[in-house]
Amino acid sequence: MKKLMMFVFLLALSLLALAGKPKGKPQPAQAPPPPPAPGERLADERGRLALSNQFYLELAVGAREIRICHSGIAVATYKLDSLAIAYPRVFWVARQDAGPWVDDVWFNAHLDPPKDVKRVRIVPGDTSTIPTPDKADVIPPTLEELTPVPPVFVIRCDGDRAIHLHLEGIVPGAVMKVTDPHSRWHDFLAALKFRQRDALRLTATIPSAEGAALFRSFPDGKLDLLVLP
Amino acid sequence: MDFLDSAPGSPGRPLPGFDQPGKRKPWIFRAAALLLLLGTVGLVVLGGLFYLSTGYGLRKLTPAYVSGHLVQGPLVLTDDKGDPLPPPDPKALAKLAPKGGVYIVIDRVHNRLHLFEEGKNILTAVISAGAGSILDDPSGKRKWVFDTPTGRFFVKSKRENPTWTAPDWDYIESGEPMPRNYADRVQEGMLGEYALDLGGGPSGYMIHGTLYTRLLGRNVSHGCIRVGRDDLRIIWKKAPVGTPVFMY
Repeated sequence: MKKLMMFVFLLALSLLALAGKPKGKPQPAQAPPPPPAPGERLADERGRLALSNQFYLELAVGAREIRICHSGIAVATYKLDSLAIAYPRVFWVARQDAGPWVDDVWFNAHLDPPKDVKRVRIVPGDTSTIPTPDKADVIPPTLEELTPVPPVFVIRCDGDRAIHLHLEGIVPGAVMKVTDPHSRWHDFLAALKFRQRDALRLTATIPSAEGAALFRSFPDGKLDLLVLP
Repeated sequence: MDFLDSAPGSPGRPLPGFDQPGKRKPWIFRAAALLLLLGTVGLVVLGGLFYLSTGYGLRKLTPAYVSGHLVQGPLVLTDDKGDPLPPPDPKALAKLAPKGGVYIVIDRVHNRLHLFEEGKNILTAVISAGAGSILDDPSGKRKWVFDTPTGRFFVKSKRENPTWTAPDWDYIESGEPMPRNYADRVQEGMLGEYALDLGGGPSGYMIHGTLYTRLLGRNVSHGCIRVGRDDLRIIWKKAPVGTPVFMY
């Protein structure tokens, strides 16, 4: 009886062991997912931004375009004349490479200098400044005349990443007088740590009409900027 | 030639405190002065070289360069708590697509309205957007900024031969007394043939016609979008209720 019980126990044990055995050949370790193709890496973030009900920006490096986007639609596109990367250098020696920066999100994009609308204050009851259908002499200023634009401005992002935009030609509308943030003196002071130095600087030239339109239409607040290949 | 020779006192006599034998100490001063001069010149030259050599070197963004600077690996963004953000909802994304492919883009800086259908710009209209001016209530309690708002709106309703109910600011701006009866505020013909209500703000913004056609292309409105008659007829026909309107 004891032997029979031992036999049954061993039989059950071997059956259990068989049942637990993996079937077929052992599987190789799962390979990591293939890297996303250029442009696909930002697909999810594009979707998130489209659903955010906020403006965001796109810089298409290949197409040389800056776009103001909302809900997945490019509401305005600004064509750049040229786009180059600028490496900081000391004694003519360029410092280390900026590393990967394309196909990525740059956060908190904002204008430097900031936009400043020179608003008109209405005097209540002063009908001489209120246009009427038949009053031809009252022509109120446009936002082009009320929003001065500098000949050079910067879109700054977190991580000391910056896009310097140089307007080519005469700026339409009001012009803002500022010191050139791209000047050698500024760079000299930045090299001496007296001013903020761009860790990654893109330099673009843009037709003045396009550049001024971008500056004046730049959405308020801090935006996400998708840098596309 | 030695300046010590012409120092105060008798010529040829040493200055007080200087030893006569060898006249060595003045040479030490000369050497020190020379060193100081050379050091200053050297610093100026080095500073100048540093000034000239700093700055940025430009490099063209060729396709090969760009492909060599692509960020690798998946993009994982986190929320404020550090948890990874979930992927966007595909159903919500699908709902973003405008019905019939029709949407309106308004450039309030340049006073232009663009009507898109299936991705094509089928109409560019000259409009009048918000003046951006400020009006203070003489009582000091209220203030209005006449900006056209930015962002995404939708055509909420459409009205033919719309009437306009003049708000308080209209009377304050013109210096006229405010009517006691609500009915006295209602004005006909001010908004042209049609009005497309966009919502937003206390009284809502509209795309509507105007009597002030001479001022189309200028920023003169109190926030609404004024459009010429012919363009407004096309917009009325093409843009159904629910059409997205992007204003920037």
